[in-house]
Formats: sequence, C-alpha cells, structure tokens
Amino acid sequence: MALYSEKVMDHFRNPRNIGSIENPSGVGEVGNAVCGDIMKIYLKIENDIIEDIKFETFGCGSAIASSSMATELIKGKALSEALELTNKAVAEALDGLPAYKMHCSVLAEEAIRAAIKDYYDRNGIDYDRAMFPEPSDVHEHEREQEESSCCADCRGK
Amino acid sequence: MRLSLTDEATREEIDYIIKSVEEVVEYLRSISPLWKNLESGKIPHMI
Repeated sequence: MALYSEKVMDHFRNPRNIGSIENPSGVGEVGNAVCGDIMKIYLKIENDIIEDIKFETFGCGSAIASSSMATELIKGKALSEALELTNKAVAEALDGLPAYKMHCSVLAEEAIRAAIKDYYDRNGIDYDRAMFPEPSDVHEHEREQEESSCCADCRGK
Repeated sequence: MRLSLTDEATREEIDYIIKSVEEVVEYLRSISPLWKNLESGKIPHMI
C-alpha cells in the first residue's frame, strides 16, 4: 500500500489556497523549525464569515496537505463552524494520514484556532479562553532544549 | 536528505537529480512562511 493517500499527494503537489493575504483580519502561526513544521494561516473575515483564507507551510508533504485541506474545509464557513474543525476531520478528509504524521493535522487545527484568536484579539471581541489552549509546541524547544525532542508529539516517540 | 552515488550512476542521472532538487527547493521556498523573511534579512536563521 502506498504510504500516502492520493488526496494527500494531490494536496501536497497542488495545494489549495496557498499564499498570504494583505491586511488580513487575523493571522495564526504554529509549530517551529526544530520540529520541522511551521504553518501560517491568514484569514479575511467579514460578518463572522471566513471570506478568504490563505496559508504558507514549511514542512513535510503531510503538513502541506493538512494545511491545504484545512483551508478548503473552512473557507466560506462561519467562525463558529471553523472552530469546530478537528484534526481528525482534516485527516479523514485526506483519506487518512500515517499515525506518525497525525501531528501535522493537529498543527492545521491549531493554526486555524490561532488565526481566529488573533482576529478576536485585534478587534477586542470577547471569547471563552478555554476554547483556545496554547498551541502545543510553539517555541517550546527554547524552554526544553535539555530534552532531545521539541514538542509533545516528538516526545511521544 | 541523503543522496548517494555508485559507480553505476550516469551523468544523465546526476543531471536529473540536480535539476529535480532545484525545482523542489524552489517550490518549497515559494510556499514557506520563513523564506521571504530569511531572504530579506528579517530573521537571521531558520532555527
């Protein structure tokens, strides 16, 4: 069996919504270069609807495919719906990811949350802080250089 | 990434991999959130 599904390969080679947005409503960046993945999501929001979404990703094919699929799943959706997007839904939409690549879908979910939180913060919109836990591995390597791994996912290995 | 050569590798194969790596690197840089900042000196290094 192939390592990656056809959908993963398609979104890796032909990513949707690639690029950036000038004057975005919100930006979310998660991950770090030590772990090997950084995802940056740009949102254009009007009336609580994601009118436009773009992403840039530094990382493996699964990371690129996960961010591409995640943007496609929430483009045009209400923020409340976008906040319900889980990493599992991203992985399922890609017809699955290898177990050791599931953290890529986690990053995609976290990047979207971070971008929406940024939008709320910029506009002074109140929100339930419990909805926005700290992304699992942003710059964590700076605090934990003693350890041989850089994020929760890597530590599990 | 590790590229290995054997004495059976041909000049054509070597030219092919050099061209392929160039293309892939250019693509990955074009979708990277870091490359623009590295190039413009906004960040000094990746890590």
